[in-house]
Amino acid sequence: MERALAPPFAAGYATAGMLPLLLAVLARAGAAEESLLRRMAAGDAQALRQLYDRCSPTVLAMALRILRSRGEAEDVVQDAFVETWKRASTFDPRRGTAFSFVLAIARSRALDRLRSRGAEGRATQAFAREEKGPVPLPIESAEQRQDRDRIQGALASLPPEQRAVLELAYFEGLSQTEIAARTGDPLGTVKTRCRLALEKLAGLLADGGS
Amino acid sequence: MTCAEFRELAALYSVGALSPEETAAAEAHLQEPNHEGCFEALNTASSGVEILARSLVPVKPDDSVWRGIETKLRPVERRAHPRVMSLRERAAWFIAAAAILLCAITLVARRQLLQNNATLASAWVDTNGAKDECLHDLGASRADGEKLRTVVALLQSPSSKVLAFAPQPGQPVFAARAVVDLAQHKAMVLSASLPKQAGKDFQLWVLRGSTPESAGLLRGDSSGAVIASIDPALLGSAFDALAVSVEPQGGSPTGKPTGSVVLVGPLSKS
Repeated sequence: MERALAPPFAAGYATAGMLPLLLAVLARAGAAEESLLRRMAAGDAQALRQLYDRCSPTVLAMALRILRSRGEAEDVVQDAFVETWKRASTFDPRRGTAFSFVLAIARSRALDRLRSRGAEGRATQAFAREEKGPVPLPIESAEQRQDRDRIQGALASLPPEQRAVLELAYFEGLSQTEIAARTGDPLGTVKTRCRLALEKLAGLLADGGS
Repeated sequence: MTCAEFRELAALYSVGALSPEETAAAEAHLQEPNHEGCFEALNTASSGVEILARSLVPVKPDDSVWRGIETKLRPVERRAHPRVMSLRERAAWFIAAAAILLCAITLVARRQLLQNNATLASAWVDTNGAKDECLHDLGASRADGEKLRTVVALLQSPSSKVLAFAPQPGQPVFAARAVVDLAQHKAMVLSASLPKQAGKDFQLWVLRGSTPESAGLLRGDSSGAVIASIDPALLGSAFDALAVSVEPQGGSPTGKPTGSVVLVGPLSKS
């Protein structure tokens, strides 16, 4: 899956002067998604459709990255949006954005499926190719694609060991103890790398990459 | 857990890399009223996680995915408020209850109580959204067999109603439901999200007018799942609402709510 994290603009993102704009775009998107969740909590089914249209491509990409099976990943997307509808009233903006709320539900479902495969299935999964590789959305505009490229650039700028901790935790569902066992690093190092990586990602966007 | 300890773990919490025990402790900490930078740390970590996901190449789901969501939610959209079930719904619920009991018995034998309950139930119970939600909570809990049987029996009862608790403005967001059958003087409270809080307890109240009567403490397992019965003596006459407050460990020292009221669920009069 290195392909998805390739850094096509690794050298250029910080100097492109676009990160403040990107931050503003993400902030606007976040406000819109939060508003949709609130409408869903009030029973507005149209809001669910709008949230689905906005978020489902990224949710599917994330589920596909975890499960590497298009069919299973789409099942996860379906279950995740049904659950998001039911749990919309429990959304707490202090804990993160509406989009991260949806992602957390979907990731949990995807990891449940991954774990239900058992050890053999996980071993197979580790070496499996996706049934269909992610294809950029035809509807993704050049601007959206540039935004994503810049995000990938920010990610690629992380030290490899920090990025590895994030990916093992988020996409493979490993606990800090399992990551420490896998990488051979002390638990404290895993903890620190995870914190530094997320702070850096958030910080890169918040301060325009300076 | 202290705020400093939480801030240290916020990143691992956001990427889901904590053990179940650590996650429960972190959840419990977030429910506490006062914080020093905890939510800021959580927000920063959460932004990082969101960026991680947004770095992936988006993939458009097949149209059948949305159609599946519509199919699953159509009955939910139609539901209005808790109400007495029709004969057809009762029959569907009887089948659902039987399926759930069968599932529970099998799982108890394997010491894996109710793991698949929600999935099993959802295949049967699309005819009644409110009770569907109850079964979803049941599936999330690890109720013992006796409590399960009591709830299923209540759900089967034609005179039972489902009461949904609503979070209160300015208070942490929790969720709970109650199945109430005043004719039988029985009621059960269900929640999948009342996490243990250090030095505090959730206390249930029965409200008649503005007079609260304690209905006991709601203590869940480490995942926050709660299933509790209400003393039949408190159900001898109609009440106006149920409420949940956060009290010092062991319950209110005064017999009245002393802490924040976090959930209120009015009883439908229909």
